[in-house]
Amino acid sequence: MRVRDRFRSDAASAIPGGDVADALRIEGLSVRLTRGDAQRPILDGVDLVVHAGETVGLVGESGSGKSVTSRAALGMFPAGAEVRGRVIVGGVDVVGARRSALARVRGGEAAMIFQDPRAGINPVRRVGDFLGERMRRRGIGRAERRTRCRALLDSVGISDPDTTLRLYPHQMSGGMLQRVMIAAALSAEPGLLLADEPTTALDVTIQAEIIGLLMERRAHSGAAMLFVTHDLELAAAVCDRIYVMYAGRIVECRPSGSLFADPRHPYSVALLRATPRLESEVPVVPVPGRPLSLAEAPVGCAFAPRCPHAVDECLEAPPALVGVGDGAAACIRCNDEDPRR
Amino acid sequence: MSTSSAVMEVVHLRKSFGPMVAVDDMSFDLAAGRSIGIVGESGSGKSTTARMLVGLERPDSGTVSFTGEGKDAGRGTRARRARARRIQMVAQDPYLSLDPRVTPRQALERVIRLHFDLPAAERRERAQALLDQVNLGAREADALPRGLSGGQRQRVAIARALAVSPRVLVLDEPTSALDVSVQAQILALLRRIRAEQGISFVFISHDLAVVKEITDELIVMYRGRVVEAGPTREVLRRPSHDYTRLLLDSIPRPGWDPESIGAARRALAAATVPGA
Amino acid sequence: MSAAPIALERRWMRARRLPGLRGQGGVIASVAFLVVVTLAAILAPEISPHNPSAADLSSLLSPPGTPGHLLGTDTAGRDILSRIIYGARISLLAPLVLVVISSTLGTAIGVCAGWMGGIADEVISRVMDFLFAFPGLLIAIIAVALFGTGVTAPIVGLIIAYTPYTARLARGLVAQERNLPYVESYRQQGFSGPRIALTMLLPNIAPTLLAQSALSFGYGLIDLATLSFLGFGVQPPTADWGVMVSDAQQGILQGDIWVALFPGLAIMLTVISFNVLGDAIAERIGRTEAA
Repeated sequence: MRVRDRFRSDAASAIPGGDVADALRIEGLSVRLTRGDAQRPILDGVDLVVHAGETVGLVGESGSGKSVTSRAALGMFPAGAEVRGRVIVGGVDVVGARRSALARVRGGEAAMIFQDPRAGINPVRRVGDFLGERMRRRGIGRAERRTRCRALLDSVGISDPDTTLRLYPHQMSGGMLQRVMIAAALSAEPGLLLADEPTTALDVTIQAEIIGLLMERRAHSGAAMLFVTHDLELAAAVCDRIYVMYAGRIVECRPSGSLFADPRHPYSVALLRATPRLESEVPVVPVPGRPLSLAEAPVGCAFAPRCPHAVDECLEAPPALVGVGDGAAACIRCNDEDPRR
Repeated sequence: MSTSSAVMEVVHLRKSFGPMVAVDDMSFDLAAGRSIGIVGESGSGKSTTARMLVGLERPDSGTVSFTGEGKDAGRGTRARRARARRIQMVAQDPYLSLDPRVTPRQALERVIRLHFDLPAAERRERAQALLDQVNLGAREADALPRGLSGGQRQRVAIARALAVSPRVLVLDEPTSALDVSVQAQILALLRRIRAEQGISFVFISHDLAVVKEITDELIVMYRGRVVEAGPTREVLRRPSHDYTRLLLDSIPRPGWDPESIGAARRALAAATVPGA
Repeated sequence: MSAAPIALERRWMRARRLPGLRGQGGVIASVAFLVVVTLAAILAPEISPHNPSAADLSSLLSPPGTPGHLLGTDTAGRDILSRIIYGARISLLAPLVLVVISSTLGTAIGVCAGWMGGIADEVISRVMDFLFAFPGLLIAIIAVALFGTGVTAPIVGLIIAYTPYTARLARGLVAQERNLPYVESYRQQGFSGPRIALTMLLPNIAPTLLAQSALSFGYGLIDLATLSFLGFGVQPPTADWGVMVSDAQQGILQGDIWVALFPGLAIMLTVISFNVLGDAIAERIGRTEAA
């Protein structure tokens, strides 16, 4: 159950100090499962900011907590989790927010595009009903809804909107359906778009098309975007800034270009070297060992057992984020001469 | 491609499902210790090709033959077992390709017992050697698949395929369900196995960057047909077919232009009549 | 878009809120009850206070709590508790035989149909559809007409009626499972079809079939009791729960409902216990697969 450390009215939950210019501000977010054999929190003191209009990448492997972080922006937490910290979306702290405030965030301030578009759409309803649902609830008439839906589909490059509106989800390809989901996500003109591996399930050529569409529509609407992926290359191609996550903590936060040119956290370095790249002549280098499970709670740096540069000091306490050049990294040696060696 | 040292010859394979031609006129030779990649998008026929190679799907016409053997020797259990000793497959989804009730050690011993008449002690030894080869510890070896990570499961699948000492290993997108760092581990493992055992690979993928890591030659499939083939480096450096170029351009990288790719894909689709 | 995250949230939460211990008490109670009933059936001669057929004409329809007759006596003056204890023998054994045979038969037929597919599947499925068209009780009554009353004919009839259910379930499970990559990889490794079906695939679907069998046991008990009640099954004066309810009709008319109440209760509790057990097995399978 959520820890409701503060009871407050809707009005009071508009944080006075919250910067309205930030589409998403996560401060000290910790999420811990109270049941099961979890020894460490899923998220441990995550700080993350997406400025208005900015595209930010959140990169990590399965189990790193990247999806939990992105869902937190919609006030969605795993059941039975203990949540601490603040998640401010459009001036509202969604941690412990009331149902009505959450509904406002989900229906307007933020919208999510999922990895599997089929998971987010009712399979027995036509595309037109799905797209027009919110409009119907707002009391927009049938003819007007149809016109707007058609325009929405047109905006995501669907060439025959009239036919598409009558289709059921199973009659559409994954790529087409993801277009519909993008149209739906943007229909409420949200200030924040959350994209959780939106193209992982698609072919590489379709992926390019969908990403192109997503970038174009996002720029057109001016929304900020948090782009969650395990693919560093993709994140770098799409995002202005990238957060790298490992075992529930942010380990590095840098502008995309400099993260690639000069990664400072050993995990980012390892991840880059493990990513196959067409231009590179060097074979990929695997990261030794395996990711930390929730049942393991090391005292020191979570990456230390896999880190080629670990020293005794790394095992004493989890490293805090320290400034490196144009960003930050959570490694006590990140300002050493050359962490890659 | 020279045929002198070929371990496997694939000649004019064709397979259709109803009116849809999944694979049309697929031919290639695979030399001992070489690795060939087959790339294409979903529906290109690459997985159907893989399934025909290992005998899970029967081609409408064309043959798969192994040097020293005759052509396909029918479809009985015995023929399948003989083929299994030549060629093995590692499937894409490590979450579904392992029997949920069987531990890695049991799975290996089961395959070894099926193919070799060995005393129990030797069988156990062999299974242990395979587990060591893919770096699976004692805990993992005796755990049920649901207690293993994706990478560990894929190691089990690889060990199981190696258990019969096949000459050819078909890898059907073996890393597409895995994280980047785990993918790199599996790729490194496969590289090592190939170097140590001189085993030949057929590597099916949609990811050119991965294929580049592990293959010498490359076949590009589009809608059931081979549209380009040649040494991997050559094909990647100087693609001759529009579809290959499209695949290359589609790989995300900083400064990449996804919008033009969509236009190119649609132009290509319009120019190609499906299944023709 | 608003609908999507909320729908997903529900799913996400539900997946994590799988009842871990909820129902545990129910399962324990059910198992305990079934153990008691089974022991009572086995030890009937030792624990039963009276001869179940001995009529005590001095105390017809004595109410529960009468000294010497804890649950009272029936219209013929027989001790109801003793009859329930003895009745457990035939009332449990008959559905057991029914379920064991129909499940085995149904599994065999279903696995054949599901594994072989094609014409075999087509033929088997049509025959099963044909049998589905007849209500189980009707088949059992026809069997009684052919072979006479008693315990055998209803069981034979119900076996014919129950087998298609297991067969259809098994067929569906096999057809679904056989296309999973792990079954294909067994094929590709050179294992023979029958061996894969029987030694590798069957154990993976067995728990689901077991859950179905537990549920069938409950239905079988009710159907057999119904047949006894209608006079097609076990014949009086043999002690059987269905027969007891039937015998009690006269008592009920006189306002003595306990004569029917206690055997009815025995039937009900046993059926509920098997249902709880079946659900528990099914849920456990679901949890293991979700893990």
